[in-house]
Amino acid sequence: MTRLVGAELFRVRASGLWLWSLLAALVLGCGFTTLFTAIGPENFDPPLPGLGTSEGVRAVLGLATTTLFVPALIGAIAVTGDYRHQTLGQTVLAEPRRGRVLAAKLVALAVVGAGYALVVVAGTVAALYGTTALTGTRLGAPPGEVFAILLGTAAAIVAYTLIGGGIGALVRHQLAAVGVVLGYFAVAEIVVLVIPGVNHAYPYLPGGASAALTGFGYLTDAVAADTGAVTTLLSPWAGFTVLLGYAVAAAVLATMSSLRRDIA
Amino acid sequence: MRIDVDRVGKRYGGVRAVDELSFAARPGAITGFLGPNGSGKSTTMRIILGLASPDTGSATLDGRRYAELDHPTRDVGAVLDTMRAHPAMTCRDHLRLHARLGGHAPHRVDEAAEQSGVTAFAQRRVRTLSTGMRQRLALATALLGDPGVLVLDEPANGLDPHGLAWLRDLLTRLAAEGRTLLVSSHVLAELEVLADDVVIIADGRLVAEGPLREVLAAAGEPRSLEQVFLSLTEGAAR
Repeated sequence: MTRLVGAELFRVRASGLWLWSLLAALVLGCGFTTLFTAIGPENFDPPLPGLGTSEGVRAVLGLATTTLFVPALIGAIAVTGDYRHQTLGQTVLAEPRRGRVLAAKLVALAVVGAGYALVVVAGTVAALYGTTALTGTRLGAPPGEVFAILLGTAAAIVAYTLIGGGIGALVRHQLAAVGVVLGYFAVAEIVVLVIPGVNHAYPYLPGGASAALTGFGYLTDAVAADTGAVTTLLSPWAGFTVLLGYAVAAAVLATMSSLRRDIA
Repeated sequence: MRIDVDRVGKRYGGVRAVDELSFAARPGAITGFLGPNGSGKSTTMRIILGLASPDTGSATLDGRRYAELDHPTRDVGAVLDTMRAHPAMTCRDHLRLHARLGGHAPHRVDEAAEQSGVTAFAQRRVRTLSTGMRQRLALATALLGDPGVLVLDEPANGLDPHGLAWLRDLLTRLAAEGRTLLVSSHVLAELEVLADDVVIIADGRLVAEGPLREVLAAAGEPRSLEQVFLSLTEGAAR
């Protein structure tokens, strides 16, 4: 298994996917946090509490959860690459047990997701403290609270990378997998939140579970303010377990279905 | 290591791709695998390699299915019908990836590249390669594990006359070392020089099998492999 995981990590490096992932992590971690911190949440439309409050810090850090579709895309692209470039045949010649191939890809993706999360967290910390030092803003949350939020974000990033990988294994076609990831995380999940009755399931959907991890319920708060429908999120650990559950379920389904087909 | 295909059958939808096909390929010999387009050669090779499952029968290597081999790419090297690799990877990285996947020592990358004539363009990205270069890279990938069996689907595709001569020498040398080679090709004049044994199929069924000389002799008057092939497979779907 170590051999296969090492090979899959090498594939991410040699195919250039790591570079795009690093760029995305830098822009979304450092770039966006610098922008949001410099503008200040009190100047958002609608305005949020300022950085001098715990809620304001939480809001700026929590906005990273709206870009969680990016690690999911990285996961989907990494797994579907073997299908797109028709290299799965060569891969399973080396390891005919296809479930092991997928497991190795997912373990490698967990490492990639952790690396992405590390860059996002480091970039966010540098941007948050650097920008507030320059603007002379005093943060309303102690470092321990900031760290706890960022730890939740990092865990969500790793889980989303794995969910993307699971979706990729199920869908197989790269463009279709990208479409599913974008369509679900950018559109469908938000629609679910405003459908009466169905929104009770939101805490168990990836968006709700990731909001539980970071304690940032931007969408749930907005819907509660507009409709009065209050959605109670899960605990952080339960949220993380739910997210991992999606990745495992997708991988198991893929192993039982698409991975069993003949390889052309 | 011997390849045994035993009464293999495979259907795709309503089409019978391979029908009760049986043949063997022995160590130390080059077995030419011939058939018109769509006759089931690639499907049979994929079944031998475990990439496709037979509906009936079995394909084994010294009695074991491909999936049961302990170190599959050390036992069997394969060239699939077209070279598939990530276009952004360099040839060297492609070989390093497959050496890692197969658990082969890093020095095998340079050795296989040298053996296949890839060294000269090892730093080029796959997307920039000519068809002939891709074929050499595919062969280098197959040779990474220094395997005792080679299953090669159209390895001569895209090679120029120099490439063909090089391939002939390489395959002859590999067989002389005691390896088992199953080689499909449409270049019949080349196979006539190269092959020790031939297996000819049409519409998924065996039409001739045996040492090349015997198959040619069975045709009666002196005839070339091409003439024998055309007469045996006349009317087969293409």
